[in-house]
Amino acid sequence: MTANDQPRDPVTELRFALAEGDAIDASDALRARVLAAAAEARQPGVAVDAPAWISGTDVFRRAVMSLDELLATLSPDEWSRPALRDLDVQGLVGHLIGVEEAFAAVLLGADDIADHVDDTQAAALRQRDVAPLETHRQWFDVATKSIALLEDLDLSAPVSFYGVTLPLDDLLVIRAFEMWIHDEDVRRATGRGLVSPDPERLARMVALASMLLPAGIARSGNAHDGATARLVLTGTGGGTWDVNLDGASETRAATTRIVVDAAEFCRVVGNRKDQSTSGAVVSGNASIAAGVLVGAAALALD
Amino acid sequence: MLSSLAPSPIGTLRAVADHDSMLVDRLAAGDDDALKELFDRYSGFVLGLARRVTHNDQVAEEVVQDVFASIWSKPQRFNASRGSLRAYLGVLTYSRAVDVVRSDVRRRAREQRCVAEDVDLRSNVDPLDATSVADAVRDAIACLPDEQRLAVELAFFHGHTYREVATVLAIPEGTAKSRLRLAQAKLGVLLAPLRGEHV
Repeated sequence: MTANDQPRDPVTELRFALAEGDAIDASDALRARVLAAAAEARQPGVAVDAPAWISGTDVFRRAVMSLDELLATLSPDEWSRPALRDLDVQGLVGHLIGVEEAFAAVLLGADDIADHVDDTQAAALRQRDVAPLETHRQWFDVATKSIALLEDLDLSAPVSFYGVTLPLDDLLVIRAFEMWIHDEDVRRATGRGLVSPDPERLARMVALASMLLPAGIARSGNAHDGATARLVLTGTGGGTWDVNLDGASETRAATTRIVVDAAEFCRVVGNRKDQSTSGAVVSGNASIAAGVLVGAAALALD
Repeated sequence: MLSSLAPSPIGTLRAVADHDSMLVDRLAAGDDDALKELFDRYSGFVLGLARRVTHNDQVAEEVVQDVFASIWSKPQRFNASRGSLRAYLGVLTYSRAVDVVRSDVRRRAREQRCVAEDVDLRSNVDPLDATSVADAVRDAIACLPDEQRLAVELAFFHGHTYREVATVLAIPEGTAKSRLRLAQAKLGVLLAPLRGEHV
């Protein structure tokens, strides 16, 4: 390069490059150097502009506030719209009251409860005799009671709830996950648009679901020996995970890739969407990809 | 009917745009396989353009490295509604390559100036006069190539670590270290007279 070699017209340069560029092969050495430099500049697997990591208590609190805001907008007749199973919106909130009462009891030292649906049915049916506003108030009271109880508890201590034992911090993310899924059940029942969790909540939900995914895959009978799928969750709060379908902890190259929006993946985990309705784009082995997504849905409680 | 089987240009463009968007979404999600695909698809184009502008294979490869590191670090800067990924990479490459050429032109001019000033440095600096020494150090730093001068200023004047220098300049930490090493070596030569040494 010399001082006289001034750049020429950009359009001309681009035109020449477009015409001839693809005929040039970059060397393997350059490829390796570029990939190494990129990995040093930004860690693979982590989403760009990843949201801040918030505590399980904050995830739970935000879920409660979101649902509270939604319930406050419902008209009297919307409370009686069919929502889930045989429950109308009011019954579904009653189910959440039952879950919350059970959770508060566990936080205070009671034994875990076996069945997520059966054990809350009484609380759900109880709402038939009360006004919707009273149901809303009861639910908010028990949810805020749970939040108050958390202030004195060690979030790293393992807690069992509905047969799942996890550090309380993670268990709260599962609780928030369930609350958001039912938040969207109410939205569907009342013709409202779906609203994804805020990025910080979504990032924690996605991280936990990815961690639990091998268990869901095993539970659904979709374990494949030696198979690894790359799960690419796009959008704010997403990230990239390599999931071993046999539960192995070793690092292996993925042969199948699933690309799906992070919030849509959470809807799959909540058993509200599946491979075809989530917009997931699969490349590689279709049956392995299906195994991952069916395994994800097996994490749902109801 | 044969015509109905022919690909529609609009459909093809949309497919490319969708593919570009997904590739960039994957980059944003931290999928390094997407970067490999991006490199395998566009490195020839980027390298060819960088060579045309810089007329120097080694410098062109540095441009390629910068361009791919840039899109990996800031994929959200690509906006599919404003053009294809290929065009975006072309603009990035051209812009980076022109910067390199201009920087090279400036460096040559500065080096010529420094060769002349070196004579003054040798004869005029009093090693016991702090002001005189500070001026000489400042002049020597000004003679460094821009990228090395910036790294030196951040590290020595602002007290940043290697990692912080790398973050501020948006370059890998290894590159920051190598720029500082090169700068120190060059300053050693330029300031040798202050130590009573002859180069």
